[in-house]
Amino acid sequence: MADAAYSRRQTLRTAGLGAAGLVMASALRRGALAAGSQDPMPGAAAVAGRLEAWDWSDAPYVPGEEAQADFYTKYFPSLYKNLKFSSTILGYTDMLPKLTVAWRASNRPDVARVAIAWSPQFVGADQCAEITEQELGIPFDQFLPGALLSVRRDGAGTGPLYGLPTNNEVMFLLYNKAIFSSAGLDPEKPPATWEDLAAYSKTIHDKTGNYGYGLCAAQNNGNTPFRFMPAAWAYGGQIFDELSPHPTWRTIGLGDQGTVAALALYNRMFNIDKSVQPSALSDNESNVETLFLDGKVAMCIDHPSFAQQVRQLKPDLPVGGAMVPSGPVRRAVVLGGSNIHIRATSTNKAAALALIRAYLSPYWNARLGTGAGSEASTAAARRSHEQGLLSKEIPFNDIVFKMLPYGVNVPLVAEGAQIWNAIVPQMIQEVLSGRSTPKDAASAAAGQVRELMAG
Amino acid sequence: MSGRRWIRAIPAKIALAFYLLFALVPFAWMATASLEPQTALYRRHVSYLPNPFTLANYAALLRANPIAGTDFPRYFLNSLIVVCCTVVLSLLIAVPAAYGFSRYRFIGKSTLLYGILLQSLFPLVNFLIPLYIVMQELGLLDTYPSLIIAYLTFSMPLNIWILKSFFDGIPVDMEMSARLDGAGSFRAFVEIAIPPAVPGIVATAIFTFILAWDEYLYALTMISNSAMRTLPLGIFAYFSEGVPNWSGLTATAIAMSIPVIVVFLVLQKYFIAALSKGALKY
Amino acid sequence: MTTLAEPGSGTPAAFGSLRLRWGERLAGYPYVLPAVLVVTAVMSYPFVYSIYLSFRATPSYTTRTHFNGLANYHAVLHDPIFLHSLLTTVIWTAGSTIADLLLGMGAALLVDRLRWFRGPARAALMLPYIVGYVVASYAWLWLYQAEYGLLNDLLASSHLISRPISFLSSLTWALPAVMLVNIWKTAPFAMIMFLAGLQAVPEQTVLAAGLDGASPARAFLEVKLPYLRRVIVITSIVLTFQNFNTFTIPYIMTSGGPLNRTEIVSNYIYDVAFTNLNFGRAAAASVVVMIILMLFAIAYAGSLSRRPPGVV
Repeated sequence: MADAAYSRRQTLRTAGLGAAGLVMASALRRGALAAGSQDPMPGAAAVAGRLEAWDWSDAPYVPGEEAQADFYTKYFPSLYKNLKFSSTILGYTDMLPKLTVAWRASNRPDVARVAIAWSPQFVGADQCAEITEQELGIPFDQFLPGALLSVRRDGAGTGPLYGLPTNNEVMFLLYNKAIFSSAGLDPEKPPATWEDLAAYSKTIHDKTGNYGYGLCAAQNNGNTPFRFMPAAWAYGGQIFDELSPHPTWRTIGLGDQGTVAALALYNRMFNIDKSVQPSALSDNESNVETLFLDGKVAMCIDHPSFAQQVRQLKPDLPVGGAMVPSGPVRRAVVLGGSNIHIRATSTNKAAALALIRAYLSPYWNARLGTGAGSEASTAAARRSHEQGLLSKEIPFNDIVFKMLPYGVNVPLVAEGAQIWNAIVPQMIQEVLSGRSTPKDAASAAAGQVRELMAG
Repeated sequence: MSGRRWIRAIPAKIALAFYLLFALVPFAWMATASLEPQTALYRRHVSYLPNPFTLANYAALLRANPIAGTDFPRYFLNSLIVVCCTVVLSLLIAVPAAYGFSRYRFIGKSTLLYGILLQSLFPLVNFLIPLYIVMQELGLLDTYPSLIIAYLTFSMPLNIWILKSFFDGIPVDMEMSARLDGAGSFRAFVEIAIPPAVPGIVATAIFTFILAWDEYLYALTMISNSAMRTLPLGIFAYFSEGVPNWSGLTATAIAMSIPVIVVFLVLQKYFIAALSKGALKY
Repeated sequence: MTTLAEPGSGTPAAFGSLRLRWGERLAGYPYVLPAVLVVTAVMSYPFVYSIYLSFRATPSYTTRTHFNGLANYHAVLHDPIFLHSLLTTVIWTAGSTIADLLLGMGAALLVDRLRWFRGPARAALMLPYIVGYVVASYAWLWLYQAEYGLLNDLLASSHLISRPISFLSSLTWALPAVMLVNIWKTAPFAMIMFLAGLQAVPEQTVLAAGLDGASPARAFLEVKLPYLRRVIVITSIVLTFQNFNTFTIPYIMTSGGPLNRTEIVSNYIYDVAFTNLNFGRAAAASVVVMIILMLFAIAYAGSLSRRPPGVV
């Protein structure tokens, strides 16, 4: 199914690593198994019985697939010879429905990795076991606070954890240095704030005829809010109360002045300055990427894997990277990623914890995270030697790491999919098509969310 | 006389030329795009001839490309299996059914017949949701049976109606004499009624083939594993992995269309017979 | 997609008397039973299940559902997007069908007159129909493209526009644009039907009209048209339902946008089910659509059966 919930296709890019990555990965691989197996595991002989784990992969994606296969079929079983371990790798869009059915009917699999937006459903249905810091053996401050929200009941800011983040990802701003130069802008000074972005966009359009900012505003499409919400958040706007460290997901923030300001910014760029591509209303990120590659669009927000694609397809295009612009209130970007959960009624929690411990060990956390087109979830992994090697292949990886702490969660509620994919894009389209003022569109959207949450 | 008639026919010839242009220009563009490298498409003015010319896109179809996430041979095989099974299964069930509706009268015949017709009027999406839920529960998602079974929702009613028209058009005399000679009903059916109906059966098979080959909605929903994709989904793959590769996409689209076009051209008269027989017979 | 046969058609009377003589009241059942079972399993069961689902609340994070009465129907019937999609679908269906009939008739008349070029012309004009919705959608998606598409290129070269137009982003042009794609794809079906119908017109009548000095265009139409009435009616019925039930074109080209301008009911139901993850509400919408279509079908069937048999 395309575009289901927060479609992973938008959060994970796969085509990026390419041939160079293949070589790198296979070199790493040879050293890997040896290196990884030196991690001392306490009481390895005591971990016995059966364990079943489900994971998912955006296959075909060779480097990531290899890492996963190595971990599940070679590394982990070699650690615990007394354990009868079985693993299944599913497709991304198949994972949620299959797991929903499996965990409703039984307590297998014992362990499952899911996208960050799916966690609330399982945690909320009391299907996940609580994991304590002691049991795990990894301090919780290793993880991003925003990532931990999604594994707590009701997406709360404090409380026990019912799962753990395995990888997280964010987007950043790409820009075309050559267009900047020809517009008289300093190619080494990307826009720092959203206001700057709008101003640069206008300058670029006026001086060079190219479009400044590539905007996605297609409806029924997750790409649209992925780029809009960072602007809204930067101005202090929010859908619920996701900007607070302890969100309740009950108060509706949509319609506040932050959202209105962001809509006004979009409106200015699209309708007044006309510095955005005219097909924005039907564009998702693919068309923006096409225009960026062709040098028709100077700036766009995208994933690290797109930067790699640019490098592959158009190596002579001078791409610069920058953090997503900040606003008067803060800097923000959507936090994506995955979490791993243990079935609450699992009969072999010890083995499950052992699996998670291994998955989150710095070496594997780095490799599996990067293999998934994402980043490792633990700080230790991000600082590790393996990550350093992997990062060499990923342009602007340092920027992505810097953006991670600014990640804000998508709505961690059951109605999240409709809000994210339908209501927010609709609000944006109302403004861009000139049919509503930002204020009216935002209030209307807030009303829709209110109705949805009530009904 | 003939000279004047010819001149009077010129507006008609111009109109026909316009129709042909309208019908064929998209294909011409697709052909051109498929013969150019990916980056050549992005330019100010559309070029009507491939410039630069390359067969790389077609060559790329011959093998799987894991990095780009496309695997044309695999998708082709999937489509072939699903569509052929659908056609065969539909015919196996629909031919006797059409014969039964055509030749026999029994209680509930009208109800059953119109019931089948009525249900075929509904949008496919109506059946999709319950079928999806059922397939999920049965664990059949991402398998061939899920699609083959789902495709029966449009192939069965269609086949029954077209074939019934064909059977209606075959005189019953031969069967009657065979029955009078003591042949069983089934023997009469198989040995007497089917042979003259073969053109109709072929026509129906072609029509079902063409419909199922292009089927997108059910495939989109039931199939998420990229190894199980059918061709229509395979085209979609060109969009889902970053910058869309229009040249690759058009090459795939053309390659995907070739089987149906060939089937159509070779068996044109059967196909057209199926379309018009089904509706005009009365 | 269906091709309809005339209801009550077929079996000549002689066979009827034969059946009575043999008393084979049950003989027909074994032939139709497998089909009936299959159709029941694959169509009727989902149909009933839809109705069942439509009365239940289906939270997206659990497979447990509970009864909630008419809440789904209430939500759907008060959803401005649903109502708008119904309107859009009516425009889409009517517009596409009428254009199909006109274009198909025109093409059929033109092709009918050809002699040696007939086969290739017919095949060429059938191509859009053969290649399917998916290929059609992607081909036209690029043709409509703002920066690199053929249409914009032509408009720009003729200096009619200074800034590229994104047809699929325009609130006014998006629907006509996608309708054009649909017409492009379905008109050949009408052409084929009319071609077959034109074959059935007796030669003598045509020649007689010509010899009487009637002008080719008008006389042909007034002479041939009565013969074609039946074909036209049936073709328009088939096209109406086929067009009403389209899904692929708007889904691929615009996802129903911009601002739901190209959202037709199939897309709406799909979005509610698979984007908003609300199966109960989607089922309610699909039941509403089924009721509407059943009313149409009954009306059509009524008008067909009122037609005197054997009319030419």
